[in-house]
This record gives sequence, C-alpha cells and structure tokens, in this order.
Amino acid sequence: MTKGFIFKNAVLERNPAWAQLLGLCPLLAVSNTMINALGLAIASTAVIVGSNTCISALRRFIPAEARLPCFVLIIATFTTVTSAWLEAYAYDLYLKIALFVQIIVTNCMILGRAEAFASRQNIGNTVVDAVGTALGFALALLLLGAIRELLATGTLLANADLLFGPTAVNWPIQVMQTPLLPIAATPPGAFLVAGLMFAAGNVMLNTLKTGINRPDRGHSHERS
Amino acid sequence: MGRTVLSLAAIGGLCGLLLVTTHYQTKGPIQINREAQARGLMTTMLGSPLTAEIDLTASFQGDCTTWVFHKTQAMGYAGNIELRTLWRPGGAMMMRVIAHRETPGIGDFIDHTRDPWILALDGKRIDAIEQTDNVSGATITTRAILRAAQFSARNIEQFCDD
Repeated sequence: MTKGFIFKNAVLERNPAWAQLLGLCPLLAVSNTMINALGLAIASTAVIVGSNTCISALRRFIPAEARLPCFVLIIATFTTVTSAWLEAYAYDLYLKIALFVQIIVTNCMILGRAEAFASRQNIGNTVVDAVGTALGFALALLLLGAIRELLATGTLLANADLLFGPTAVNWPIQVMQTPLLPIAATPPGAFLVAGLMFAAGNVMLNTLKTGINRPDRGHSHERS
Repeated sequence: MGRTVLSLAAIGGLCGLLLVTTHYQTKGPIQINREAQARGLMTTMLGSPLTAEIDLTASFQGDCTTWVFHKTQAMGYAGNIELRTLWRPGGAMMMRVIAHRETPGIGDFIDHTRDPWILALDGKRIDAIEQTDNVSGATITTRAILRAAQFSARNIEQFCDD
C-alpha cells in the first residue's frame, strides 16, 4: 500500500463525509458559515492527526481487550487540548463552535480510523491516512459551509475576523444582495443541502470511475 | 495481567501529562478572555461601563442602593451553567449565561445570543420568575436557571441585609 494510494483513498473514495456519512452531527451543525466550518475543520484535523499518530505510536502497548477505552481516552485528551487552545487564542470563534468542538470526542470518523487503520499501521502511513481523512472532512465541511452561507445570506467568508483577526474584517464577499434560500442556514436546510451535495458528489465520482473503465479508454478486460 | 495494568497506567499518565501541560500553557489567556467577556456582558446588562477597579472574581459587585451583580452557577443537564444576575432596588432582576455545556439545539436556548428566552425574564422580580414554565424537552436546563435565580435572589437579599 503506497502513501499516495492511502491518501487518495482517504480523501476521495473513503471520504468520511460523502462516502461513509460519518461525523455528520458536527458537519451539519457547524457548516452554517464557511468560517465556522473552517474552524471546526482545523479543530478536527488537530484531533484526528494528533490522536491517530499517538495511537499508532503506542499500538504495541495498548492491550487488545482494552483498546477502545484507550482510543477514547487518547481522542478525548486531544479534543480537550484543542478546545483549550481555541479558548485561549481564538476566543470569539470558540464561543460559536465550542459545543461542537467538545463533541469531536464522539465523532465516529476519528474512532473508526483509529480502530481500522492507526492501531494496525506504522506512524508514517497513519499520518498520511489521518491527514487525508481530515482533508476529506474539511473539503466536505468547507463546501457545505460555502454553499449554505451563499444560499442563506448571499455572502462568503462572513465573520472571517473571528478566525483570522482584525486584518480579515474586509474579507467577506457579498455575492448576492438577496439570499436565494434562507432555510439553508437552519438545521433542516443543512440536511437538504448536504443530501443534495453528497448525491451530486457520488454521481460525479461514479461517472469518473465509469469513464476510466470504459473499453474505448484502453482499460477494459478484453484488451488487457 | 501485570503488563496490561502497567500499559494502561502509562497511557493514562501520558494523557494526564499532556492535559496538565496544556492547562498551564493556556490558563492565563483563557482567564483574560473569560473576564473580558464577563465585563462586556455586565456592561451591556448595566447600560454603562464598569469601572476597572471592580473585582470580577468576587461573588458580589456593586452596592444595594444602585445595583448588585451576583456571580452564580447551577448544575444543568450536561454540566455547570455559569451566570451573572443583575439586581436593582425594588427586586427587578436580569440574568445572563456566561458559560454552559447544554445540548446544542435543545438546551442552548438559555444563551441569549441563540434564543430570546432568557431576555423575557428581564426586569421581573423573583416571584414572577418562579412562575415561568419549563421548556418542553429541556426541563432540567430550565429548572437549573430558575434555581439559580432563586439562589441569587436569596443571596443578594442576605448581602443587602448585612
């Protein structure tokens, strides 16, 4: 298994959001704006990379019969550390997404990768898989955040200063004067937009795969 | 068996060490941020700026002839709810939640930035606040706020009597 294959697999084909539908609670709750989505993506990345690397490094010492409590303890530790750093250095954003950062600990995407990958692979492969999984989750979060914000308020990057400081006050872009679909900012809107987005993503991926495997592209079984 | 126990103790110790280190690294900035937030919220509640000498870590601020702030907390559904209560002569009260861990979408209506529920209690005396209905689906959270209001009213009365 090459690192390139692991990375591509984690980002696209086994994407935690649109392929496995894992971690949907924070994904739907926090993606009402692009900046909130980016904040949660950064927090989730820190937790998944830190905890899975730690689990991989300690895998020979973690008793098989107590592995799940150990994984949860390590993930909870990294979630608490991330939450504390956010509260210390990005307080305004922390106030908006704190409740969802705390529930990263129950995100089955992270526990799933710990059990299926980090506890069986070396540190190098685990880091690549964790970065790929985090990037895949971040892609889904940012895309969903951008679409929902655009539909609900007609803007992009609203409240960028919460994450990037006073220099980002002028970053927000007003794309439309009249919002197209205000419901997109609400929880039902999150389900609707996410469902349509995941369906469109899967159609695109399947079309891409079918296109690659078509006989006239020279990859058919008859010609090989 | 012995090796398993040792492994678990070592993993627990490592996690503990990481948490303690993070706590010492971040406790200063977190304290500053929380105080600034509390000061901002209290200024908004009062309608005028608080003087810099006011000690926000004390349980009471102000005097009974003008206004009194009381710092309190109550056990909600998912942890402690921290509040500030503003009391004015005559008994009118105003409450705001500083920090909480209630369930998003269910118990977070107590946060005035997410829901106007707590704003509806503004200016009421404790006997009127006690008559407030519980919010369906979040009874424990509502009761925690009402208990905090009773606790504040009792303590402020005692503070003013002294």
